[in-house]
Amino acid sequence: MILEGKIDLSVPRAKAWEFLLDINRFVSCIPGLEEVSPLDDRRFKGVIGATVGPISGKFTFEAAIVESTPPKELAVRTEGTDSVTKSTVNGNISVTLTESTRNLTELCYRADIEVKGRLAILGDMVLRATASLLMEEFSRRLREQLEA
Amino acid sequence: MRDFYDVIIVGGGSAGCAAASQLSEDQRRKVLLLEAGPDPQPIPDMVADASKQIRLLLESPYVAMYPTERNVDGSVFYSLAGRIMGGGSSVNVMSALRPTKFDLDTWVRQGNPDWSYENVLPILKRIESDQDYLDSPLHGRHGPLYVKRPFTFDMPMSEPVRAFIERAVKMGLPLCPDINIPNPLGVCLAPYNIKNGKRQSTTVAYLQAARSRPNLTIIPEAPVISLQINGTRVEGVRYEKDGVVHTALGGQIVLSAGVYHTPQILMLSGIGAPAELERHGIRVVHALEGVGENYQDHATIYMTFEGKKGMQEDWVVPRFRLVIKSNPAQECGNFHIGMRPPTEVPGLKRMLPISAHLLEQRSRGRVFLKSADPRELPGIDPRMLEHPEDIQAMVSAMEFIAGLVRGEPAKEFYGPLLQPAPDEDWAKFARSTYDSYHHGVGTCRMGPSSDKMSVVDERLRVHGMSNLWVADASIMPTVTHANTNLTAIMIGERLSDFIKELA
Repeated sequence: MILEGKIDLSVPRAKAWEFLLDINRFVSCIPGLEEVSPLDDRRFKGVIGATVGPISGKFTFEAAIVESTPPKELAVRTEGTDSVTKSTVNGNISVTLTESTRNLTELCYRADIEVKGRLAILGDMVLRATASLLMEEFSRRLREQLEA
Repeated sequence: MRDFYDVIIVGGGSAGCAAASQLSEDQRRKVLLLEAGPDPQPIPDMVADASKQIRLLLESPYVAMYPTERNVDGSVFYSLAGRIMGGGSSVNVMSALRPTKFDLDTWVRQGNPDWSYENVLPILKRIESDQDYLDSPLHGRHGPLYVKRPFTFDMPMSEPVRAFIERAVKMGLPLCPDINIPNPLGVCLAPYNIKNGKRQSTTVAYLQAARSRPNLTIIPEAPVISLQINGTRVEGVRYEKDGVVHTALGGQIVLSAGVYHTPQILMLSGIGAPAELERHGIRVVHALEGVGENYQDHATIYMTFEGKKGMQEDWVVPRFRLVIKSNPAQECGNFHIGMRPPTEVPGLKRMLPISAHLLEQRSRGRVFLKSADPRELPGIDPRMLEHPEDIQAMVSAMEFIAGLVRGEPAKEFYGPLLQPAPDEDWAKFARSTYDSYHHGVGTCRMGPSSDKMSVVDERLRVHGMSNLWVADASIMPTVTHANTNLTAIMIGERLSDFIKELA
């Protein structure tokens, strides 16, 4: 499953870059986190809870910055497992920052998400919309915090 | 001396269990039933308890997943099959829907006059013990399969369900208390093969009563590798059990291994399209172009709306569905529209999906060998939503859903459309995100020998072979406008009639 999008930020690129690399501030933009703990300055782990009808589960994941070209490109790898089906969800996310004009930055992302295991059965009923809303809410919070 | 059976049935699924039970009623007929999956006794709680159906799908080891690429972009969804005694009937959602009259009329038009509605109705009646229509000329009272509609229009229902149904009626859909009428349409109630909360798979409804018969041998966890063929006659079946290859010899050989594995076994045995067989170094024993072709399934898409209110539903698949025509000119309802429970993730908008299931497929897919290794799952080329009329129908159904949630009282629960975006290309969205309704059929199509792409005749005998039969969803010439399990059982029942007529 591939998710692509862009977020327009009314801040200079250097400020956006600094924010993304600050794990504590970055994770504050991720909705639904029940637990989060930084592992080092490039990795953190977290837990997101979800309910589908009568079924509730938890998704435990670890995210790491695997590549960075300051202040314009970032590659993040996430690996996670859900508590109900023990399926794995891995994602490769690339982020590009482009300063379109002074104090205006365009953040483009492309997430390639792979679900392995039984969770994939619920793929298009649940996962696609959830992933897409997560990105939407992340964008909203990122803008809110950066532009405050 | 190897064992000899009068009938060998390969595959203990919906059709295979029904056929094995019926054919072993005569103690003089020695029957062997081979099943690739396990035959756990007692049946595990997760399988037996109907309320655990979604957990069964998500957690149990009894579901085989076949990665299937969407043709438009190569993205993957999973086609599914049961891998346990009872096959699909042991893992499905237990809807007991009949083929529509329109489906059977279509099969007749395609050269199978013996499959008319009038001929098939007595078989459908003989299968069921319908608890709701005891005196109806359409329904049966004494069959092995217990069916009951767990939800009726006069029952208490949650407010969101009531609003959904009321809105559908306001849009002109009739209330249809029995989806098993010849051509159902409207807000339809379906029977389920659930008795006192327990799944009535074909293992329960058919096989349990036959297990103790001395003339029925059941061998589970015994995947079939190939057929032993001499000229036009199949002499026996090679299967693997505990790492050892065995051969069982038989008089009549029936393949009921399902829409994916029946064509695989045929091809591995040298029966199929020569070019396809030669590609894998398999010697052509009997050229039959249609093996693995004509694959059809029901494409499913989800439209996700913002949920305005919290909902406490105890189902993932509701006990009613809308049957609609995407175009008034359609001869029968060609969509199931399904209400779905909300997905809730803290910090996100509440997601409330509605599903649209296209009940026909104009383009044809195929099932093919990935290699000559019988252990490797066959590949599936789905070709769903490729035909312009199919994609047009899907977009029309999506527009119907968008209209449904805009009106009172549904709009009290359904907010703005989240996915696809209102201004997005819905046809593109459908083609790149569709999933399967898990009703694959057609890979050994039934039809006259003059039709070079047909694999079996209307008595289910493989063209050009003297004692080889196919009885499962693969023989359906077209996918039914309904869930396919009951049709598969009916095919198993008919197969048993045809073989009994040989005696």
